[in-house]
Amino acid sequence: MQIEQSQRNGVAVLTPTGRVNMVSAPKVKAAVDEAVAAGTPRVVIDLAQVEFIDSSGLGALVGGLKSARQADGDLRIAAAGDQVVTVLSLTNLDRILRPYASVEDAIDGW
Amino acid sequence: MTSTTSELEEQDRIAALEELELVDTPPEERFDRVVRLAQHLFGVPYAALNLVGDDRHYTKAAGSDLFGGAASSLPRSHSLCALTVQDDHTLEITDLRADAAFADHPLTGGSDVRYYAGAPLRAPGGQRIGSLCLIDVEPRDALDEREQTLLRDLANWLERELAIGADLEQGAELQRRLLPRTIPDLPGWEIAGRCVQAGAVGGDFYDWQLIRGTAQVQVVLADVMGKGIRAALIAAGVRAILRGASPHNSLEASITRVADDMQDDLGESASFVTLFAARFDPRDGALEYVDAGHGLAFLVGPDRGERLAGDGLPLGAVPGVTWTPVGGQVHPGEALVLVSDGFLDVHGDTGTVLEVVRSALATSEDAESLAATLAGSAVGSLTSDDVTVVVALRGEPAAQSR
Repeated sequence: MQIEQSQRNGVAVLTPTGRVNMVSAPKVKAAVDEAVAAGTPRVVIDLAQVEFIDSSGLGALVGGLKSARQADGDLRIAAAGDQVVTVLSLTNLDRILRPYASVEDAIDGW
Repeated sequence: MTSTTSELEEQDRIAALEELELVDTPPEERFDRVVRLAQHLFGVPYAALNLVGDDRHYTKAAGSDLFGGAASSLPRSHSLCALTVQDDHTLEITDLRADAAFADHPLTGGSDVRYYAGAPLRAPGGQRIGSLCLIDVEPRDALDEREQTLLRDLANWLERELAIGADLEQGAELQRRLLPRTIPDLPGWEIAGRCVQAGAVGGDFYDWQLIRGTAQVQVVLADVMGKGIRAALIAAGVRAILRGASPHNSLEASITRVADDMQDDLGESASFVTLFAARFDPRDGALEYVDAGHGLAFLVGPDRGERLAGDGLPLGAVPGVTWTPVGGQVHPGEALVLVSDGFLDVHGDTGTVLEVVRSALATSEDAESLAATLAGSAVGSLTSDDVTVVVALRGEPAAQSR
């Protein structure tokens, strides 16, 4: 899996592509940890290119959220597709991982 | 037998081999690919993974059919691999017919084998239970140091595969042991559960218990994120704490207790647990439940079909969360049905799952057949997840007074 990384206004933006599952989830978590360790504990994960996420993928998002919060930052998700939104809502994880419509919305006012 | 190993060691070796449960099982790609690779890398016409039992060796994987294809056996007296397992080092015979030590071996005159190299394979406990062997019909030069290392690397790879299989089997057994073995006898109610394990070890489990001191019955379905032994161990922890806490605590306090006690384990592994837990009073059907991010619990009956949704977070997602029970009522003829998320993979969305549950209830005679029908609807190629179902069915008044 490719994970593009960029920085906007001091926020790390990670853009994974494809399916976030048991195989690729650890890479997403590692990318968040890396951004946090590099001094940008505010992280946005742009999910526009993610077509599917399984429970391991959710684990990576929650794990990333924990890492970011431990460093006094936060993790936000943006541009999630239908499947991702459905799974987040079913698990009630949308309470802590509120889906933002776009990366701009997620960064706005942070 | 000219064995240099003692009888006890041999017994231990055979026990270790049996524990792997691989003898007389069909070929598996995870072994085949290593053997094919060995055959190709060394340019021999035959390579095999042989498991050495007490009276024969069993060919678990073979790169060709030249000397015993996959799933064939050879008497131990004829097996060179049976000699390989006597020592920790690679056994190499560069020309069988020219080697005085093997002048009387059945293969020397009775086969086309000229060259043999076998690297012993160890079970997780260290016992040498088989060999990765290379065979040629022509004599060959002895393996150089680089080739020796390469053969050992491939053998180590096979050892890992052998061990992973054993791991998975133990994990699956662990997971099975988490399930309740008895069904409580509840007048007017039937309870049934199913857990059909997928190939890998999962973190699903279900449970039920009578809550001492109250008339209530608690049913639970939980799913630990991830797979493997780690998930199964976390599931075991969740189950044990919940079983222990429930008789002395309210539903919400019990779940909070599980979340608190498991916080370190879950935090360390960046894992979480989705869980649906309900308590009902069998006398009047009064129900309370907590949905901790599970989302797939249904109350269905002839006149009703609803998903029991709550807004609780999964356990371990973030610290300091609380869970608030929701109330409800199970009427006669209705069933509380909990299913695992494998159903979502198969049926697409919660609305469809609800319809599947409702129509299964309409065609089922009892809780057992309802659970079996539901499990059957989800098991298959569409999900790689475990398929777990719990049913608590409240009988019609007529049935209750019987």
